[in-house]
Amino acid sequence: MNALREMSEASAPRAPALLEVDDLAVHFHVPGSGWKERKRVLRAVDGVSFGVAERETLGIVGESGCGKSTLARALLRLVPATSGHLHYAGRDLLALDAKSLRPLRREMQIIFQDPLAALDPRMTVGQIIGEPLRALRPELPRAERHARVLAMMQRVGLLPNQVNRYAHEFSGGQAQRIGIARALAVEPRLLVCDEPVSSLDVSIKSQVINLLQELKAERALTLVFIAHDLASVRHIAQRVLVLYLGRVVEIASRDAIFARPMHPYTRMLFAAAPIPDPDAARRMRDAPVRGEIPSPFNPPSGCAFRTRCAFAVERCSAERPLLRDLSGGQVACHRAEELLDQARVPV
Amino acid sequence: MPVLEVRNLSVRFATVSGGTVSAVNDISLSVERGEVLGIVGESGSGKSQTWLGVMGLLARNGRAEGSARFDGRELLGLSHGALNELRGARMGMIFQDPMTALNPFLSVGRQMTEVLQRHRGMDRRAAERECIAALEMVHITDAPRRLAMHPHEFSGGMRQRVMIAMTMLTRPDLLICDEPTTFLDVTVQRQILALLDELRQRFNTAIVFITHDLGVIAEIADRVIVMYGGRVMEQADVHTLFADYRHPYTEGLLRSVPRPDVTSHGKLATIAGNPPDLAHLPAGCPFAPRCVYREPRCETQMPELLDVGPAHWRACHHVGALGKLETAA
Amino acid sequence: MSGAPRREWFNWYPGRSAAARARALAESEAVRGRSLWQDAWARLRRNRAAMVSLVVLGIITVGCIVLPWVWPYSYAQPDWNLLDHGPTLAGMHWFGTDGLGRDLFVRVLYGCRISLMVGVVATLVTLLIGVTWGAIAGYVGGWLDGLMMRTVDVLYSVPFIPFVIVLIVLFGRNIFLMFAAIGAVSWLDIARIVRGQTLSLKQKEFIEAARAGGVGNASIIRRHIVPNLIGIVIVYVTLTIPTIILFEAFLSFLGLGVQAPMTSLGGLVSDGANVLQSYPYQLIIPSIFLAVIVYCFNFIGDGLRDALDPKDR
Repeated sequence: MNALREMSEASAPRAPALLEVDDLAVHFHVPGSGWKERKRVLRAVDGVSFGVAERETLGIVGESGCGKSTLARALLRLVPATSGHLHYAGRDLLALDAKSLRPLRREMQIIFQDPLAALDPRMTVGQIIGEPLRALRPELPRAERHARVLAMMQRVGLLPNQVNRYAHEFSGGQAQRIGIARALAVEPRLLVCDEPVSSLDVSIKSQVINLLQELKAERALTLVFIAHDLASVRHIAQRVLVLYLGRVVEIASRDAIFARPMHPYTRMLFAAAPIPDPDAARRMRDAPVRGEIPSPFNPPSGCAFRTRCAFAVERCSAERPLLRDLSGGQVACHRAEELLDQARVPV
Repeated sequence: MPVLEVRNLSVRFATVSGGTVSAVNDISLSVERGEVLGIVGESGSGKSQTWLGVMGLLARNGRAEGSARFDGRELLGLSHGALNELRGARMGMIFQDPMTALNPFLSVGRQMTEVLQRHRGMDRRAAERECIAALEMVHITDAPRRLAMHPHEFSGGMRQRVMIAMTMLTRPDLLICDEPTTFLDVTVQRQILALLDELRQRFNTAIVFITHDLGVIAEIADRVIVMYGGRVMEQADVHTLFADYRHPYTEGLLRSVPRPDVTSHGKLATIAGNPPDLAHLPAGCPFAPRCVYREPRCETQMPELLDVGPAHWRACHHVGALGKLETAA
Repeated sequence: MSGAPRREWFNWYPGRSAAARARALAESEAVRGRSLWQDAWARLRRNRAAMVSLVVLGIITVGCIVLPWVWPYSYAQPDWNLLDHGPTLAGMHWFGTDGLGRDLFVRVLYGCRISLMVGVVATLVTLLIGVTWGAIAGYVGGWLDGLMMRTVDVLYSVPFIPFVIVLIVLFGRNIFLMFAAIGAVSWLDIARIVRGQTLSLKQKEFIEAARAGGVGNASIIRRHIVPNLIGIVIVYVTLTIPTIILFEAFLSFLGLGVQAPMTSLGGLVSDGANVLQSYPYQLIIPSIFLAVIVYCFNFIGDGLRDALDPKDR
């Protein structure tokens, strides 16, 4: 019954997405290292397509070097996209010039992985949180801006009397609260979270995750939640997108992807996540995990994952698998059907 | 006899302004041959400083007091030369970032053979053969060619493998791993953990594994010590600790992390407040300010580490049952 | 002040139970933060060499500005009865007189004034050009960066000393020309330093955060890049001033300095060197002042570098 509803949800045309990413690519030109070498092209994000519905939380997971941080920045046009399309609420973001982009900046904000590095050490908390308001809502009088900063501080769990303190006087968890306050001060609809909890202490992580969830509910936010930590993605996301070497290998609803991951890479990634329970952890010990992510400068031909894949066949090196609908989600693997039949056991 | 026996170890740092900061307070523990002792803690728990203190690797303004006996021999107060000899030959340490321990200007082979030439008096040929064997032991393929490469030519996971191979060259009795997988991806982490476990079984090496990640602890440790604010909060074997924890801080840690194998809904349980500021530690239990079971005496009196079961200790005044922490639905 | 509130937030958590306490705290007066500058100043104050240097330099600066007004002699007024008279307390010739009977004390004061002025003004010129050039090259990047930094490379290859000498020979001994000449050449170092710093600042996440917050490029340079450059620039400035003072002394020693009867420390040293065998005090006294000033700046620069180094925190 549940599965049926899922199927129909996925196959029916979904509600118009708030953010629509279509064949997005971000390539960097990196100077060669030796004197003979030419400029090399780093395909950090290479032909990525997905949508994020209003009020949804989309989790993006992948290993380091898979392009997830670049993708986050490209969504906000903090790094220029090489090709593709990016639509926010129906407007083509990539076609806008810097000036017409500005009003849209109010709608989409970002929080960063290293919360202290994301705060200017020479500014007070009040200046930091007030900065986007100042730039994006210049019509607001000073007093009003100040009041909003204080209200925002209180909301994220900072004391308003800390408004004149400097970033370096705060711990990592508090600094991340400042980052969240800054992002939400302009009342955005979309919040991109680039590994917001991965550099925080264990006991602080859950505080910040709870805060993000509360704020999401309160302000009807749409979240793009990027992480390499599967557990927090499983907790917070409704849909999960798996990236490998700049490409999407699988997208599915949280429940579907964790119950039966379709792509061999997704399986490997899930199997490798350490489980905080010795009995379960020791059962998982023998799950095969092979190799390391190859250099993004020369990704393998065909399917980029084939070099580490236990199921790779000849076709995988010859032909790049396209992302296609399967069993309620989307997957980019030639053998997905076979594998799906083969292993119905939840990982 | 344990490989390492630490008694009443304290580590203090002199600050620029003339004060002292206590990073580790009065810790006692022992490590047995062939076991993996997991040390869990957050920033400011003293989990790394304990071991740097034992190894004589503290920053210049740091001082370790107490006793640390390695194979019956007192380490604290040992001369630089004698410590260096022991560290190279019988104790090894692996760090979070292998680049801090590898010289970027020398080939991996050169750095590895040097260890053998110095500590085992081998000639170069024999040393090289041994190094190739060591790289193969950590599952690095094409080892002879890899020996000529420099550290930056390896990926993060490979570098950590090289580091492990290098440390294992002298077959140490004790291997201290300070968050060796924190910078690595989960897939690579899994491989490194498997490798460490394999080496332990093969050489009966005692491993101390320092981490903040409870998942990693569950996977690799035999016994676990939970640290907070420079003190031991709880100590037990890994199954007991996860199933039958008795300390509020352990409860908080275990209850607040989401699990990758179970879907949780609603709010996560949390430990309120922030990690301790070592310069302003409370007089009593360091965890008291964040503890939901706090009693008046917790703020003035540090509870002793007492046993609550076979090989299970905790430092807490609270007598009743746990389970008061706000829980996920 | 900083201890108590720290422990307060330690206990505090935005839960229901703490709400009342939070409200009470919220209504209390805002706590003043300690900026990095205040931290740096606190560290600098513990550096004895730097603090002594700061005091000595302060005394010399105030002295060479104020004292000439109240001194009974002027720097140009000869006393034909007292030629080459040694230091004496009688008649207020504390440092003696020179070969024309001019009071050496007041001349040393003027020498300090000119040397400090040349040092400070030329450094400001350096700063203005260097910081602007480096920050723009670093922030904008791309071909403009390439063009601007290659220009710097070209200027580096200009032989500096002959260049200044030619300028002075062509345009006469003009003190402003000297400022300009020295400044125009020594901005190259600072441009390089500032560019390097800007490049690394540009990568920082707080700059990305500002861009996401809709802050324009000019504002980012003004509000984020420049304030974060100030630390390194201040250190560089305190180390540049003495180099320029020494360079001015060198030019004056060659006779290319300020126009007589005005003088600088270099000029006085040069004059004194001519009569070294008969009247050594005429060389020794200005030399001591020159050395002390240069020393002081170097100590302050080193102290600032340590105080501003974030690794020390």
